[in-house]
Amino acid sequence: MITSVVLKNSKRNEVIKSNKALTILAFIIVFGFISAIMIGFSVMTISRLREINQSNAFVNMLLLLNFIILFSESIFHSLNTLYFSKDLGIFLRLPIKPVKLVKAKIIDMIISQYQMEALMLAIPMFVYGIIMNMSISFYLFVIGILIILPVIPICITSLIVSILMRFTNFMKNKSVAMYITAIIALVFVWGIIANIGGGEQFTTDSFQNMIIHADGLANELSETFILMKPIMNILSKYNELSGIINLLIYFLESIAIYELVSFIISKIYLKGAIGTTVNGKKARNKLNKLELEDVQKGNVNLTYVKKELRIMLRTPIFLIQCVVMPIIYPIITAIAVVSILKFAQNMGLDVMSIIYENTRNATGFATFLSIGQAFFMLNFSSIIAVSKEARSGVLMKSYPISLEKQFKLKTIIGAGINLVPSTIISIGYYYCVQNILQTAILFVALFILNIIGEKVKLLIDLHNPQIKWNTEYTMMKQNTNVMYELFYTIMVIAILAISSVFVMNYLNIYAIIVLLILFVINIELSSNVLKNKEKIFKKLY
Amino acid sequence: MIEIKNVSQSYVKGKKIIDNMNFTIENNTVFGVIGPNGAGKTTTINMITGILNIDEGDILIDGKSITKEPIEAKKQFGFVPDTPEMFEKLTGLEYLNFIGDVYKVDPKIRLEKIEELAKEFGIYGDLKDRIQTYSHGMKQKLLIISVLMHNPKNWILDEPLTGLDPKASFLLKKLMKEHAKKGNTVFFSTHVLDVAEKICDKIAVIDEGKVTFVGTIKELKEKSKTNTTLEESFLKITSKE
Repeated sequence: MITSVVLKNSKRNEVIKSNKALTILAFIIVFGFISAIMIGFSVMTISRLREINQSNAFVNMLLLLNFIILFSESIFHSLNTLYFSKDLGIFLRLPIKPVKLVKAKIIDMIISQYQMEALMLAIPMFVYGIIMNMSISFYLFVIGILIILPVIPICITSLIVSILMRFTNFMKNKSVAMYITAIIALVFVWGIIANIGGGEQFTTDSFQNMIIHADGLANELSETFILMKPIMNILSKYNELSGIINLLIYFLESIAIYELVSFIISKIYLKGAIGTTVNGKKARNKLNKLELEDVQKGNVNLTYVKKELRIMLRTPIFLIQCVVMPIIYPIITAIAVVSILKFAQNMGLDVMSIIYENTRNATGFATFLSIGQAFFMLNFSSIIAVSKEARSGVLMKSYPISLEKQFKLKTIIGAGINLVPSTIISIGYYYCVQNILQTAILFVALFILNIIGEKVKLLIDLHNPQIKWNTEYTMMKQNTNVMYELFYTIMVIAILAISSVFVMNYLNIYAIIVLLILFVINIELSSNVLKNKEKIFKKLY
Repeated sequence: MIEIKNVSQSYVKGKKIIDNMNFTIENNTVFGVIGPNGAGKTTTINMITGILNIDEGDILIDGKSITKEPIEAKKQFGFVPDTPEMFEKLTGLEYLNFIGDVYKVDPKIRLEKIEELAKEFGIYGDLKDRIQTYSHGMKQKLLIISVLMHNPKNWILDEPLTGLDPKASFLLKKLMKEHAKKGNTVFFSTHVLDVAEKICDKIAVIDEGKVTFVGTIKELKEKSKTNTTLEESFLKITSKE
């Protein structure tokens, strides 16, 4: 019963009050697009591995990848679900045994991972099954693995988080306690993942040795990552008795860990959980005397943006998804691209001339804009600009600041952060085209595309505000509005790609036309917000 | 002064949640709106404050229309919502400074008001703590201080006494009366009929989105033909039979 209440409570999103047919179409396109990418990636990887007689390694690599993602994701997930969810205030008052509550919360976390697994594990596995002409029992084993795979990572991470929360509970500042717990848990979890591999390190010689033998890579992976060995053996030996035995072993292991972890957590859970619901204050913050400098008048626009930024920076999940990730992703990508290019050059490949040839045209310009759009998509600042404030978000409608101005102010942080990928992409483009004017046009185009994108994201948030959330984490992770953002990104990239093909050799004309169109769209969008502000903000109440 | 003129509102087409509402809250008045749960009290307040769009009619605050001149109208009032969910990651002082900047309150007045009110409400020492560490009552007090700080002519308070301790509750009631006496308007909703009876100059009874009564408590008792308490009159006037 309690599990069902926890599940319903955590999954309940705001009712989408829009055209249902359009919503379904958007979902189909978005899921179709992601599925297509996953299918394409899987087909390509399996074909390459097949060429060197290592196709079984695909299964093991996929399982390993999903295991790592599950471990990493469940740190914040378990912290938020077990300790920072609003329903705790209700559950802790009821005569419920802690072990029941812990089990309900763990099941909730496990179930919420299935959506990610469906895309990241089920699709590639089914593609593998089709290519390798597997029998029906293979697919049944895949479903079995899909169901039990998240149990161990979520249980182990929850246990680490619970132990840490028991000891960081003395900290009155809950956000700091959350940060510290998350960082230490991350170190522990990565320690576990790193130590899953108990075998020798890969060397060039051992790698060559592996790929000489059929499925040598798959065997090496299962031997190296001992904790995952049973689950890796399930699919490689699915048509043998040992496959069933391994599945049974892994199932029993998962149940045993689930029961054991639930029991241990329940013994230390209440103090930590109650601690997060109790209001604490730091003595050093106690105000003795207010000075005039404490209440200095500020510019209203600046004050507004500061308020937005403070909320974002002081909430761990918002900080990660809206600030850290959008800055780190493009930097990591840039470093990776530069490293690969250097490596290729060292190998004597003339990659640069190929790149020069393919980027000095309209398609190259569109590609760089599309890369920018893809990075902008990873920035969630504007898509939660209203929702992040929960019920207090509605108060913006009672301030004597025009709604269109608040609309602009709410997109500033997102647009500002997007300057990082815009700059990196422009630098990359300059290296390819070696033309300052074309680079400047690209930068301005990226800038306007960025502004338009942030406005579109905020419009999506206002169209379906998620202000009645249970935890910041669930609002962020189960926010269906992100699908619309992805849909928008797909549309932009598709339009850029298709339009550039027709004028491939007219880079300058194409760039200027794109710039002008973006400029007009931006003006139109602003005037639309001004004209229809009442309608746009209508659902925020 | 707040004038509500022929206001109707429906969330779903054809089903009016507020039906042709008409009343005026004069200056020098503490005006209470009472009604059963779901009667439309908060909806009314949300429409007055611009949070909810008005389908029909208009609302004027000191002569400024909330639909036609929303910014000017919003400058005329201070609002305390029913749930004190606010920007939890800000400190109390940061929130007051935010409101101070939005309403352009002079730093000296800001300092003076915050010192006076925060001390009176007993949250002075907590102003540099994050709002997330505040209790329900403390958040409510902070919201009240933020309204009083910019000293608007019209106070609009949705269930303002919920969660307040007796001292703070007494103080707020005193401030509400004093504010009205200075020629201003105090408009608030409440479930607590005793409070309405003690401090209101006038009341409105709302039931199923319709104003069933506007007047003094004496007039309500006369209308309902009861001579005892407001509670009895209220029950009689909202009775379906």
